[in-house]
Parts: sequence; structure tokens; C-alpha cells
Amino acid sequence: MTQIADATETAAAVRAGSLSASDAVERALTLQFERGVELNCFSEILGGEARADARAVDEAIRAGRDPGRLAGVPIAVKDLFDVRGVVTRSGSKIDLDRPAASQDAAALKRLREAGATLIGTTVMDEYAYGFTTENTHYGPVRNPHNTERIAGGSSGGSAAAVAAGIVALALGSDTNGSVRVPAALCGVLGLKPTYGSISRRGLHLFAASLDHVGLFARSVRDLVTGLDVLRGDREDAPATTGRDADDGPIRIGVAGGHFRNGANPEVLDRVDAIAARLGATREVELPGATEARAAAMVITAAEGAQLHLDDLRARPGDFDPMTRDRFLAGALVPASAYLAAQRFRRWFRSEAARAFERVDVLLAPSVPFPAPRIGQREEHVDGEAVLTQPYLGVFTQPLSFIGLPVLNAPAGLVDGLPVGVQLVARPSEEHVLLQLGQILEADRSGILPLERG
Amino acid sequence: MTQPSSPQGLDDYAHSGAGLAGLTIEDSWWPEIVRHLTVLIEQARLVEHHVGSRELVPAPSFKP
Repeated sequence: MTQIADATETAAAVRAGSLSASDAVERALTLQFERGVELNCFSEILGGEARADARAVDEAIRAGRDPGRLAGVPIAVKDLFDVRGVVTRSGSKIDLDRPAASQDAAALKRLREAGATLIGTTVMDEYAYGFTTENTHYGPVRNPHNTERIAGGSSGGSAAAVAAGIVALALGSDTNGSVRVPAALCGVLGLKPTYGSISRRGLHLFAASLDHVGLFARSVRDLVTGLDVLRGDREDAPATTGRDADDGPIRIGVAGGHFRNGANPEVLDRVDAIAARLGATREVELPGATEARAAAMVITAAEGAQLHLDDLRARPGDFDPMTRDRFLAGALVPASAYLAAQRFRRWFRSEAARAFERVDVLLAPSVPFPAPRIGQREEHVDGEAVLTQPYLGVFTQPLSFIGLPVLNAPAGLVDGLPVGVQLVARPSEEHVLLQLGQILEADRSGILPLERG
Repeated sequence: MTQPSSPQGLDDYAHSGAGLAGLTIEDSWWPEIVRHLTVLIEQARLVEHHVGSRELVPAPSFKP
């Protein structure tokens, strides 16, 4: 069995001359043909652009120039990021009528300037309003671990493309869990950095006060490099630095209350196993987490509706009906409700700051259950039926609501399907999360690396 | 699965609001829209109950 190379290994091979960027692109395009078509990861394959990117990298190496830290690494971006010369569909039919983007989104520009080659744009929930990537216009994204199951959303195509080994890195967006949920269901790493830490220029927004740029990878070292490139960090001060030995051991707690209820018991067992591995000895409650989720939903509905008001007025019938109805309801939310949710946000952030005086990292499940079947509307939790789609965000929404950095790490299998654990830190302490991610990866506490025959 | 019942007057509010916002909504869409709006208003009530209308607390700082 040959292990599929991660971004770090690919870039090292390309820089060393043992692999050409052009060959790496052809390998990715072949894999896309072999697996990606069935999985429906991509909304558009950009073979011409990818080959041009690769030729530029190969030429730089021949000329003795630095090809970049991600030299020749195949990447994908959620079809919510502008790509120069391409129409950004945002998972919709309506946006197909918009003009092509005049420049790359800032995050994509940074990755391409570091030598990455863009294979294509990935399928997503319409306007990012979903947790399942069952897109009415472009079809569902299938989970690489079981193609009858969802990949999660709304960045499902990006997660599946990384999980299937087609690309090594992919960009997604996370408003309420849209990187962490698909990362968990597809068994890959998903990083939602601190709110506002990565430029959103060229990202088509969903809910402006909640949207984050996020990253998918199969190895922690790839996340480190990806985050460094996205933030413009120096190569000699990578994203795992920032914590001195004098800082003492990392204090880790398990999030209690809301985060211990309403999940498949085996999912909680997986979280507890990760907690034991990391030496987490205490349970810490975030008061108001259930209300935080409620407030996040009110803000999402109201802000999302405002961004799409013109189209809701002019062509409501061209939306996916589920998206349309939620946006229309959001457009009718009273201002007092929206303002109450924003007031609560300030209070909840204070409570979280208080909790983080006792710990440096909190652990929580990423998802309440493993991937449901495509088309499954209900799941049963604690003997009660819940709507699958909105319930998938039950544990992610309270955390993105206050912009904390969160890493989804694979946490093993439940019923043969991946689940994940959220590692949560204070703002701007992604380095702590990545250091813990390295520990989990070293002894393979989660999913084994993808292999192919 | 328990869904909250629509508050009294919500239908009239939603229809008036849609008109004011310039939204044209087909009759068949209304039940689902009202269902979503009912849930959102219930969520807002949950939140208001928690924080009321008191002044915002000072911005928190996360101390390592």
C-alpha cells in the first residue's frame, strides 16, 4: 500500500526535484477522475489553470528561484472564494449569472503565491446555509468513507477532496461549523482560526459577523504551513510556536453541560478517550452554551437574509426551497430579536473568558453522531427524533459564535464512520491547538492516514 | 420532535412585514416560513430571558 503524500512531503519532493509540480497536478487530476466524480467533490475542475500553476513552479525551480513553501501542492477551494476568471457560484443557480471574478480571493492568492496549484472549486451547500452539502442544483457530496453517507457541510466538497487524497489542502468557510462538521464526518483535520485572523477579501459572505476562513488537511504539519502562509508568518516562526516552556503544561478541560448532552454515547466515549490521552482531568462548563446556539441561529438568519435581499425580492423561486424559506424567515426577524442575540453574545464571551482562566484548552464533540445517510431527514438522539440538518451544528455553533479558534481532530470511528473532537483555545492561540494536534497525530489517536493500493 | 406553536398574530405580522420589505411570497411557501420564524422568535425569547435589556458588560479580555 502506498500512502498518499501530504502537502509537506509533496512540496519537499518538488523543491528537491524528485517530483515535478506538473506530475503532482496530473496525479491529482487522475485521482479526481477515479474518485472525485463519484464523490461529487468539485463544482468546477480547473485543469488548465492547475497545469499553468504547475508549469510556473517547475520553471521557477529550473531557474533556481524559490518556488514557495507549498511548491506543487494540489489544493481546492470552496466555491465561495473568488478565483480569477471564474464565476463564483456559492452553491447556487442565481450566482451563475454573475460576472467572473477579476482576482483571486486573498486567501487563495497567498496559497498560490506560495506555489500551490489550484485543481478546482468544490461543491457546497447553497450560500453556505447548511451542514450536509446536499445541494439541490449540483447534487450531494458523498462521504469518502461510505458513499451512501453525507460528507457534512457546508464545506463538504473541500473536506471530501482532502479525505479522498485528491488534494492535500483545501479552503473552506466556517460560520456555525461549516469546516468542523465536514472535517469530523470525513475524518480529516479542520481548522477554524480566530475570527478575523485570515482575510475574507474575495470570500462571498453568508453572515458577516460570524464568517471565518478555514482550512482542511490530512496532517498537522500541513495545517501549520497552511496557516503560516495564510497569515503571512515567517518560515522560521511557524504556527506551532508562541508558547514557552515557562508557560507550564497546557491545562485541558472537557466542556460540560450542553456539550455532554444530546450526543450518541459512543461519540462522547471518543471524546473521553482523547481527553484521557491528553491528560484532561476536569470538566468545565460554559454557561449559556445552549442559548449561544440559539443566538447564533438568529444572527445567522437575519444577517444572511440581508445579504440576499435583492435576490429574495427579484427571483425567490431560483433559490433552493430550504434556503429560500429560511432566508425569508430571517428577513422578517424583528430587530429586537437580533439585538438581543448580539447583546447575549457579549455576555457569553465574558463567561467563556472566565472559563478560560481555569483551562487553556477545552475539548468538545464536533458532531453529535457520525454521518447520516444522504437524504436522511431525522436522527434519533437520547430517544428523541431531531432534524438531522440543523442538529449537526449543536456543538459547533456556540464556539464559532464568539470567534474562538477551534481545531477538529479525528477522534476515531463510531459505527465504522469518522467522528471528531473540537479542541478550543483562547483567541489567537492556534499554536496551542496545533501542538496538541501533533500529540494526537504522533500516536494515531484518530484516523489512520489515507492509503491506496 | 416538539416544535413551538406560532405566537398569536405571527401570521399577520409576517404577511405585513413581507409586504413592507418588498418580498413576494407564494401561498405554498408560507407554512414553512412561519415555522422557521416561530423557531427564531422562540430562540430570541430564550436569549432575552437570559440577558434582558440591561446594558452591555465591558468587553472581556482572555487572560492566559
